Amino acid sequence: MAPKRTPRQAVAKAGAVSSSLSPATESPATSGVSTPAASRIPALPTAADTSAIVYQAWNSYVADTPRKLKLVDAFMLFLVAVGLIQFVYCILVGNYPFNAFLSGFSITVGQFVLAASLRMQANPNNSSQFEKVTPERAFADFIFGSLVLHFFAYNFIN
Amino acid sequence: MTPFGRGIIRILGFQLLALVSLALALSTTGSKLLVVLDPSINKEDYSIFFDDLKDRDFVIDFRSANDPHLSLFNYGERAYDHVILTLPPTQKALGPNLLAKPLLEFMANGGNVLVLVNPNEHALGSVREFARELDIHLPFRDTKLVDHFHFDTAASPNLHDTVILDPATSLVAPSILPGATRKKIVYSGSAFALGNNQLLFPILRASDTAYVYDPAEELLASDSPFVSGTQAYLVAGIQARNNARAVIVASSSMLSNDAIDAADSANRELAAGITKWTFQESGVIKLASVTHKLANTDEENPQIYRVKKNITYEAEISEWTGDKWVPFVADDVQLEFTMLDPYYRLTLTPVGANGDSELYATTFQAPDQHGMFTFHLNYKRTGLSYVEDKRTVTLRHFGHNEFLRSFEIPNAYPYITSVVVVVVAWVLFTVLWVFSGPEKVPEKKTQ
Repeated sequence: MAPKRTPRQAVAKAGAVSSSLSPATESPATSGVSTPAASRIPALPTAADTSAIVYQAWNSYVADTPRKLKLVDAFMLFLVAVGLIQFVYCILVGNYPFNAFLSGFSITVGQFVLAASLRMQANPNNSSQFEKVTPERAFADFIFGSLVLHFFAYNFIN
Repeated sequence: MTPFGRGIIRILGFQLLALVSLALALSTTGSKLLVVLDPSINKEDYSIFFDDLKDRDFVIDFRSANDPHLSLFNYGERAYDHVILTLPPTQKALGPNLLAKPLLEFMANGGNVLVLVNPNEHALGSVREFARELDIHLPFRDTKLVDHFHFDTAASPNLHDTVILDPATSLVAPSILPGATRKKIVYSGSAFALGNNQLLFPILRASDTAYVYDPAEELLASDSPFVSGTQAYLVAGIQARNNARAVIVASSSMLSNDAIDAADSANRELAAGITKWTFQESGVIKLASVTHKLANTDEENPQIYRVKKNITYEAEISEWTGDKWVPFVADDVQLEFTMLDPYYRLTLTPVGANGDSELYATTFQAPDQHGMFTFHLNYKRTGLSYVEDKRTVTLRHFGHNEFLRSFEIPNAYPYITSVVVVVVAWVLFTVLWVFSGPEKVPEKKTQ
């Protein structure tokens, strides 16, 4: 379970991200400067702002995500890459043994879906939504589903 | 004996004679020859011609045109194998047994007909209808073929109606006179015009300085000769679709002893060539056998093939030389593999002689379309017998276990490798997940 944050801390965390985006609705408790509302005109995001956002998101991800979830994410990224390669190949060269294409593509898609389900169910932050499913149970479901998927894909290649 | 009994003995006698003579006969149809010759015509004038025929083992029956017992048919079967028809000079018409309909029925039953037409005969009209059925247009009565440049100076110095023909230019069918000859053809008669029928086999035509006209009406000739030049045909034949042959010669004196004995005349050889073609002794080919099978297998003529399999088709063709069958070699025999339209049209290559016939073969891949297909061998050439054969087979589509497997198709390799790669990655992931240590718990802020 993630540690509870006070609204103060949450705002303090979000403050750095949304300093240039938020309108003049900052909490008066944290804002040390009182400015008239009319002069806080929101500015359009610049390139520097976008890269800052991405950088911030990446850092937050690396810092906050548990290691197991990062493992699942890496696996899912790998599956996306393999599926994308197959799809581009099929478009370029043709889908002649169509069931072979379906088999190869659907194993990546199906495995991705199963990995996403595992990530959802094994994420400690989501334990309130999955009261009946422990992470171990989620992992067992994942293995069972994956085996069925592999069996289907291997047979569908023809 | 009752007439019935006499008729039976006559039939049996004919059959026995036919059987005996077939063993020696040189015609593939038979040796019973009917010659319709009016008694007023002296048979001795044509003795060389008939003796040559008898030497080729024909059994000749001379009848007159108005013989009441003359009939081409005997109890529904043809009584003779060949007919030579000459017109009676003094009568206006032939009897009812020799009109166009009986002659055509005779041909439909496989008999061959040779008609010698002298244009100044009254009975020309009777033969005109028969000739029109063959798409041959006979000239008017009393017309003659005249050539003022190539005529026999001794026989017709004034009228120029005995013409001399050079086989090199006038003989349209070289197979009739095999071997080059320097002799000339002496001809006295008329000429006819040919239609456009594909089945016609023109043999002899006039030289390009000849024309046909009625000597009694000089004026008409200069305006409209019936036919002239190389469009005037003197000897022409037709081979019907059942391979029965009919030939019309627009002169009977061409075959007489006078013409044959004339100096340097090729008439005897020409007469032999014409009668050999007409009576099915030359230019006769037959399809000895047809087999089709899967390439490199032994089972012959299966009824079912599969698409995209290699099929071998073999045909054997023989030619009749006059006394035996020999291999017939040609380079244009074709096979059509047809379902409504020909999918393939392939040339059968002559592979080699196989006994008394030549073997033609080809191997091809069945098309990628299932259905009922026909092997159609259709060999129809002018002057040769027609050869046609159709065999229908089934071409079935792929069985469910006959398609290519994916690992045999190089195009599928990326998909197969992706399946293997994903499975391997999954195994790695599972191992790493299970053996990754406990999470480091982020510390709780206690503020």
